[in-house]
Amino acid sequence: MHYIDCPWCGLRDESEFSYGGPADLIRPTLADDVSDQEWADYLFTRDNPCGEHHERWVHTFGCGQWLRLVRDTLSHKILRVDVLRKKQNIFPNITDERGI
Amino acid sequence: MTGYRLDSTINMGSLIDRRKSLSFTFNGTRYKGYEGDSLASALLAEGVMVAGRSFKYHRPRGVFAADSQETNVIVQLETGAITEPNLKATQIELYEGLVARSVNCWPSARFDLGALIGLIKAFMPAGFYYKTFMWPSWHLFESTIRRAAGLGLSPIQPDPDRYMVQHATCDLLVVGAGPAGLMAADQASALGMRVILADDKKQSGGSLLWNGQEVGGEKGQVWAKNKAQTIKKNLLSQILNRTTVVGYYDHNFLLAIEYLPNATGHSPRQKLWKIRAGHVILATGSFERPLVYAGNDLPGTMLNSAIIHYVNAYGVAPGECAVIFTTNNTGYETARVLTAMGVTVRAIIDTRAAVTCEKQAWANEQGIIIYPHTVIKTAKGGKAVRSVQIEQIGGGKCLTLECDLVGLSGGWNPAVHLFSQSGGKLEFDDRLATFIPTTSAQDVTSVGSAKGAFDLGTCLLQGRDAGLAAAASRGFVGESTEVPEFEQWDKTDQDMMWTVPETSLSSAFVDFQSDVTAADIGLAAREGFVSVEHLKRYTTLGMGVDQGKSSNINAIGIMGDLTNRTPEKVGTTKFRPPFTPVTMGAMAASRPQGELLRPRKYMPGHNWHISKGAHMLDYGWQRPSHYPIAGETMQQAALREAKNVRNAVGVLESSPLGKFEVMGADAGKFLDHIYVGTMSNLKVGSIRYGLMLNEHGTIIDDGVVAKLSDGHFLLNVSSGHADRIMDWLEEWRQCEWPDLDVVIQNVTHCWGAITLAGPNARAVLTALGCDIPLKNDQFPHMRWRMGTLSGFDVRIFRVSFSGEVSFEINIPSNHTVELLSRIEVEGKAYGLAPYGIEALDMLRIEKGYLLIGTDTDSSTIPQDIGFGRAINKKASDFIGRRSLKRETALSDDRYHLVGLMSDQMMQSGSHILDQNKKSRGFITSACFGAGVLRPIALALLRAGHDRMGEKVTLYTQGTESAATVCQAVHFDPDGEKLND
Amino acid sequence: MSKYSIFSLVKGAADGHMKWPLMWRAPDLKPKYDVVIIGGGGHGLATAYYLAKVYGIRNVAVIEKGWIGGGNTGRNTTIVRSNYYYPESAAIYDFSLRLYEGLSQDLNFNIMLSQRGELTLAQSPEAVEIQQRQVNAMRLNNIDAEYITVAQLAQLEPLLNLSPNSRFPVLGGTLQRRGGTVRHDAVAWGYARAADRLGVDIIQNCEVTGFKRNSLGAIEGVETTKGTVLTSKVGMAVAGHSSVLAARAGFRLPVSSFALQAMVTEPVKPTVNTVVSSLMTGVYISQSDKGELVIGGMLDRFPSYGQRGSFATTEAVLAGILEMFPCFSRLRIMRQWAGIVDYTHDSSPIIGPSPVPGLYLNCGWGGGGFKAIPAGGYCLAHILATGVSHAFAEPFSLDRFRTGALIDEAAAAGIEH
Repeated sequence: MHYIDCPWCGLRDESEFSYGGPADLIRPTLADDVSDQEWADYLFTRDNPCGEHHERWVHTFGCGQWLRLVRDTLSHKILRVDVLRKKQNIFPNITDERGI
Repeated sequence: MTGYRLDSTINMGSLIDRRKSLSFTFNGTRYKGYEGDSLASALLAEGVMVAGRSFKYHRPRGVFAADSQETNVIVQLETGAITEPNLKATQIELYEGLVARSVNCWPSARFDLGALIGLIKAFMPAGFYYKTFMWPSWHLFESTIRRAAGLGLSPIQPDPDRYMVQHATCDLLVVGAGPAGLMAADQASALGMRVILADDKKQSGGSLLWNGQEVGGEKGQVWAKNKAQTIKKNLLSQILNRTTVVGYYDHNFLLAIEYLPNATGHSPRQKLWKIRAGHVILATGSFERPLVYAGNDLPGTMLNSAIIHYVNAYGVAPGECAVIFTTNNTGYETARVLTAMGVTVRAIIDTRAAVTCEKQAWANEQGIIIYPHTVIKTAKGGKAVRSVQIEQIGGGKCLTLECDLVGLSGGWNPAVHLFSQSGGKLEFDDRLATFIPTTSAQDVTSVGSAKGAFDLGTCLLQGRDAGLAAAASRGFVGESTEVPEFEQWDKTDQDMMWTVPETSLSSAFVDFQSDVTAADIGLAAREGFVSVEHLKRYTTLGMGVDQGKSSNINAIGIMGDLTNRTPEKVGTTKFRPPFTPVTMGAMAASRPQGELLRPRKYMPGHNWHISKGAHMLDYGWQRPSHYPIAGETMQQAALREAKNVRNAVGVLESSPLGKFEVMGADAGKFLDHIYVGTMSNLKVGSIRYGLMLNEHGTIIDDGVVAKLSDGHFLLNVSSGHADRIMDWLEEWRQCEWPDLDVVIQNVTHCWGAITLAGPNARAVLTALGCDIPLKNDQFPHMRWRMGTLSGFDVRIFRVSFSGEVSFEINIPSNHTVELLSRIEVEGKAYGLAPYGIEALDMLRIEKGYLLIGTDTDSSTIPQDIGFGRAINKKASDFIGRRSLKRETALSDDRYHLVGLMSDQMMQSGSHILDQNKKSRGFITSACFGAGVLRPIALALLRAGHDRMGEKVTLYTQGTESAATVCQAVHFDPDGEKLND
Repeated sequence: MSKYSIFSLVKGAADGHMKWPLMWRAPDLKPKYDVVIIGGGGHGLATAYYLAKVYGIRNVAVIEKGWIGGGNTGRNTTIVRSNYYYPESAAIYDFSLRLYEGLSQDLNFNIMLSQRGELTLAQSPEAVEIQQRQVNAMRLNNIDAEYITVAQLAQLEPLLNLSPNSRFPVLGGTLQRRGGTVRHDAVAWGYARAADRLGVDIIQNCEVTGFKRNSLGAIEGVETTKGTVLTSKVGMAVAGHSSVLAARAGFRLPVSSFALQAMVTEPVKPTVNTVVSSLMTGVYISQSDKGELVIGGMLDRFPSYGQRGSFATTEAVLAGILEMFPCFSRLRIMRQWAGIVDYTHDSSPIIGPSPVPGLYLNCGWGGGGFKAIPAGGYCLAHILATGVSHAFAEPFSLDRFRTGALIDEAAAAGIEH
């Protein structure tokens, strides 16, 4: 049972959150004109590491915000939780660093 | 008759109340016991020797342990709805009128016909079933074997009792209220930590409750009671008695089960504790190991600690004449306790060559003979032990001693279960001859005998220090509490012996419950099952309801001996939750069940529909399926309602339709990403139909978008998908396009929605009093208007899911019922009648309006339903667009949505065959068309768009019928009625 | 005594069972093999067996990091069935079930195939329609599926909650009579013993740490904790750890690893007759021959390599079981564990060439790998021996992710077995 430190709500139980896939997928746009294989890689191909994994979760039964976690898939230790936002930082004391 | 209750003048029994006598029934016979007895202690006191039978060979067995380690006496408690199988008699608190039976024996535990299996025992070594029962097939033997297997009986009635859950967080969870746990909890709570101390017994004290030791100059039991009082006085701390911590999960999340005695009526029977602990101290104690020799399973054979337990705690002498067999000092304490109670101790058989003089001297004083460097080679007896044959190690003196009680101590195993579950590492300690905890993976400390400290002094000290350290690590500092004086006895000086040398291995039991002998382990080793996991699986060792608490370590030792490996190398099996078996009722206690499994969703007009005679069904929401008039079937009612829409006017509550407001300067841009069609160029007052795809190109929803004002849209999504789509939109907004200025709000529940459909719909609106011009040229199809209707502020959307002129009225939820009532009154003159979902389904099928997820599946893309051209027209990207260009998306053999016509009723789920009787498609929706007045269907058919007019064969569970492929739109293909 | 039978048991009894031979040898790793198979689970061992038996390739090593059958083969809910929707799936899973049906005799090892029937409940009008569509498809694919009524269900499973007042009342169900359970460990051991007899080397406690490649990038050998071994053909059957191995070979796979839990109750006398599953709650239950109720359900909701499982899933699974069988609430759970399963997007496997020449894949079975062991092994053996995909395996190539020809059984099955 994970205990996730939501930057907006504090430490909350795993059951309040939903996992939402790897964090750092770059979505090819129409303009990128990618090949079928490149598109398939974006859709399906995954690092799926046994160890540190960068992934996104959403605090479904909480603030509804998407978060970015660095989590160990073997030990389940959570190494980092960040706000998943690029634009404005409405809570200046919270680090805002999508894409690191 | 050997066990008996000691006279109260000799020993009251520290846990029983001799003033309160209880009667109970075991295997059909009535017995008496006392308040505070366990079922096992009461049976022993009543001289019941054979109290159970083993799983495989049905060997007679008696009480073996005094706690969760019990492996022999497994009972079915009570009968009827409250019956519970496979309980350990040692863990059942006696109560008046208790009824229990031994499991898996017939007619009784004492005379069990199943024991005949013992005659062919030689043909049934470990894993024998893998080698036979293959011819002609396993099926022939299976049912007999299934009936022979299993222990107790499952209840067959619903459980009348309740279970509840309680969440708790604490700075420190201490598991086990023995000397170490009490010290730790007391210290930590004294320093201001929020402490939970959990213990599976009725009272705190652990081993002090029964081992007779003194602490701080008083009886251990009294010291423990006082200590517990001190802890309880601290308001931040609590002690949970009768609470077993059963699971240790990630992030210091632990599960405990509290047993609530005397549950009646609505009070729960068991409580599941979900505990999130800052730090955990495991003071879980240790389990004694039996010794492995021929006949070690005869009733009357018991762990030494259990003997002490029964004597001191329950005032029960388990026998009259004992032989004590030990590898360590526990045996001497057992002898001392028994002697004091007047039980004859015939001999102490000690495997150690050198026994310390002090103990020898004491035993000699008592006239007890000690046989050093000696073992019990064989025990003899029928339904109880009668004698033991002892022999000096390495040969030599051989002797037979008569007895009715054999006490065993092969050493002590720390209860490392929870520590191992937490991810902690174990290590074999040669000196202690057992596995002890080493590196922790979480914030957890093991103390006391759970860590291999088998003497009271170290337990007390370790407990206190662990409490101090846990406090310090979380910022609680202060004075340390005092470690009391104690009576020292050392259990650490001990010998390592996994099997008695030269004993007959085939009757030397390692796992008593599953009847796994030392010979079975030998066979496993010979056949290559040397990994401890293979051993367990091949022999079923440790798979019984005692979960291997008495057998695992011995088996590892024996396997090590056989394969010349240290126990460390053999390794332990994984310790899995739960620590002791837990009822499903308790484990699922925090999950909604029954009616609450998924709360029903009700529409604002729910009661109105009921008052109109609606039959309600669950369509994700509770909705009227139809409004039957006396004697009508659902089909008849639906057809009547649908015809009424086609010919006059019908009213339908469509409140469940998902309604999302999307606002912001970039709202249009965002919707262009989301929908296949373009939404940004929509004009205020207009409505546009759109498809939503996922990134794989699959259609996941369809619906209409209305532009309310600049930068403000209202989306309608399918009622069944609304919550999922809302989450999905948010995910894209937050994760992919966080820079867009857009917010999304789900307003589904704010608005009631009422649809008026049919040729007379406009007239009904007019009659209600509507300030919106309603003529077709003023308010055409796919437009929306705002105004008042019958005095209510409303938005009206001219959209249609029936193919008729249709107005969808959005009104604040709280006015929905009133408006429905007024519509009913005003509509009467125009032939208005309510229609349900079944009629709606008929109307939309005949019009070729598809239902996403019903008429499409996980492979349906826009091209398949005729939206290929719309895509080509759009310049910008949208979700899923790239997937529509993959090889398979461009294939001309895709499943297309088509219509089917037939003379006979068709059925959803029928397949469409080719000449080779292979499926080429299937029917997704079928009904009798209320407008076209014949059977119609929608189907997904390979290359269906090119097969218009073709005759096809339908396949339905073995029968075939004919149909003709046609356009999906069966009714009013040019939309004349729609745009009237 | 190398052939097992009732007679060999009698003979064994005569000498105190002292002469039974090793079920499989513990050989040293040879420097060179024709084929190396990574993973000593059911799929890997079956591959070795069929390579030796069907294709005559006996110079084969199976390399296992721990003990054979210790991965998902020994951690599942032992269900076998072939009631799949798409013809491609039906073909391969039914091939598997047919092989299972003859496997005890074939291996001379009782795998205890118990064809007690696999039952899937329909608990909404939509589920009824979909199940009818599926039953029709299955029958067209020669799978013995039947749609059955509530009355029939009551006969098959008297304790099942069939009350029309339940939150999701049971309206019917699908039954595959040939479905059922198999003793899972026996499958690994039976294949191991039979493969060993044919000369296959089973190397336990040996981990593959890397791959040797030639100048063209093709496989030349594998590096292990017991030394380097040369081979030109490697088959990989490591389920949840496929991505880890693939990374060592320098490529990535379209799979994600999740924990799939299972649990058993204390043993009771016969009480559940078939394998019963509910798509509504996503759980399933059967009873082992030993008497334990074997329970499974949905995946843990996040990627994991920890073989333990989250309690959030455990409790949801048990609540689902109590919906189906309210009378089990007083039965006690005795053990809970998890296996690591590798899921593809379409929940269908990958069998065929990898991006590295000479390295062939058998992965992506998700929660359904156990029932596919014989077919998965057979098809991997086929491509290792012949260089081309077996007809049953062809639709399950890695390339389908590029073309989009997915075989999405998630929609058809909706549940992990």
